[in-house]
Amino acid sequence: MADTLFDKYGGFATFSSVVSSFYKKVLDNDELESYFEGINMERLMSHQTNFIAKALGGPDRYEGRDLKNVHARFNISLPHFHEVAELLEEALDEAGVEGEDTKTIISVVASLQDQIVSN
Amino acid sequence: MWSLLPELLDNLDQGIGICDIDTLCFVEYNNKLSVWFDFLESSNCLADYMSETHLKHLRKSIEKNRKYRFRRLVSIKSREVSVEFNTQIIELSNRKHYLVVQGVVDNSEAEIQALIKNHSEILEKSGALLKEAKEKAEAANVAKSAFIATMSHEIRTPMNGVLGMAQQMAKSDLGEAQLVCLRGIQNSGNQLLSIINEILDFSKIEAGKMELHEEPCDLKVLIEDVVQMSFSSINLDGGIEMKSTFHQSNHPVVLVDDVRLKQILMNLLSNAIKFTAQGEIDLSLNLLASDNESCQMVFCVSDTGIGMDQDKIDHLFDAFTQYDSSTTRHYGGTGLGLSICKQLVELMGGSILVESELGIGSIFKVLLNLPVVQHGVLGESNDLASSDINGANINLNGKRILVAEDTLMNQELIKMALEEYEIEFYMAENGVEAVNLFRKNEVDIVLMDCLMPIMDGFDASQSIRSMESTENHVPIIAITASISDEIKQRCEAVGIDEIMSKPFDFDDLVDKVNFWSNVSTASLSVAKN
Repeated sequence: MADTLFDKYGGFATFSSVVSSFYKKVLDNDELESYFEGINMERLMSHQTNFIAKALGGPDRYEGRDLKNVHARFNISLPHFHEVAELLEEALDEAGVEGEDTKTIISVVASLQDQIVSN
Repeated sequence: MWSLLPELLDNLDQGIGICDIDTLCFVEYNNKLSVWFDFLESSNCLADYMSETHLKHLRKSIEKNRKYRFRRLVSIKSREVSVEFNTQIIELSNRKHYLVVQGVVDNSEAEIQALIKNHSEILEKSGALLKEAKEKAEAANVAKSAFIATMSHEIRTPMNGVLGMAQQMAKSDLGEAQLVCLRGIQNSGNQLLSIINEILDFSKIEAGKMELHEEPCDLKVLIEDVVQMSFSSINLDGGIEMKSTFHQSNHPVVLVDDVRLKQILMNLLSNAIKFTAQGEIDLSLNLLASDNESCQMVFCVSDTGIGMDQDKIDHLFDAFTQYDSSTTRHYGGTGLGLSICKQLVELMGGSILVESELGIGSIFKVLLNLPVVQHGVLGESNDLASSDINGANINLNGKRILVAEDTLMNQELIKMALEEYEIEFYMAENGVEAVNLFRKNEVDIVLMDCLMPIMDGFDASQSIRSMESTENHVPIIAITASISDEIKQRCEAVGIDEIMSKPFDFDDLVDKVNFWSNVSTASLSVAKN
């Protein structure tokens, strides 16, 4: 019985590959790529996977810092935030996550806008 | 100069081609790409080789001028490999925009996914194994606790016989030699009981089931009690002095589990006594800070005993640890006392420290921060049992007592404890007999064993309570060899007024029966409220 979105789509196995494909998309984008200069992508991807897991009702292993503090120094703009959200949506869609569920996940991400966008 | 380039492109390990942006049909492509897409046999349109999802995303990427990646499984010489394609819009020298499609065989993702899946499965399996192991360990722990509780009950029951008979024997005319033997029996029995209690406490703490029952408490009275009780266990010829010291004259009434606090201090004092051949043992109380809400204090137990070096101090509070392995023989004890003390103090939110010097003595300090109760609360203590008892004022003659107890020895002991008084006994061997006797006879008080065949003491008490009217409350004292919070709660739930543990002290039983059989129904209902 899959009670959570996390379990419904196969847990860590699925969402680690979603996160991996998502970051590939992000890094393919010249404008977004500059945000990630000098960033330890492996660590970031592991954080992101745990964050998504927690957000989707999976295990709470997220040990990252407060989102607002982490993102403040990047001066992230709203269009870029939307672009990233769209790429995540794309990655989820490609992984076979159903439309309704993708919407739910994106709405979780959208609710974080105030903490991430600072420009 | 570039005449070989088309040939070179055809020999690349990568597939490369350009498509029309609108139709997505290939305009030009190298050999590899045609192999991967089987162009010769079917359509030359990229869209026909893509899933609906990928196509949707590709069109959006073109619209937004983004790169787009997708994967496709292709057969190469009957082997299926994963090809990763990436697409991007470029403008060529003919001023036209094309979609460049490049592909490369890349099985790493599939391999990584297989690894991740494998890893997840291993995690899941080891998680399940861990869970199973944890459940087994917990079950074993529960079984251990149940075993200890049962053993405690089983040992206490015959100990009641041993200690009870010893008490009865002490009433008779004995010569000096017999008195020495009898004291030996009593001391050994009491020691055995305290060992059982320590083991029970330890297993309770270990299982996280130790609960504190906080009540308003006058610390000065408590300390004097503790010193008095410990003093009575000193061999007076040994040349040990024992005293209590109060650094302040006034002490606030605090909220604390007085039984457990006494246990901690008694334990520290008995340790001090054990390791001090002569000199002085002092229990002091010093208030470090206090306001209207809480009070920080330190209890110090200091002795002039054998002392310890740092190495011993480091392991002092570990369970089953003694001063050294030989002390188990020299000094006796389970090695649980200090471990229990430490855990009880920590349960109270405090800490315990020790300072010691070999050959000079030791100081144990218990630091506690306890809530202060408003003054006067203690004066309204609800402890009925202690408010009225006066040993000189026993009024038991003519009382009718119903005793429910399946062990004949214990029935005898209850009679022996009360034999000085003219009491009419009704004896029952199980709960059903007790209820029948209660129905047929007027009684002043019921002494109820908890665990009996046919009907236990809880059910019997409940039946008795359901028979009587509210203004005719007959006191029931449970006498049980099982002491646990669960038993206490069950007793309360079925309307038992007081609990005595087995083995019982004859004088205690007389006091309690005297108190409860002389309490008026009116004051009982006050007490209930």
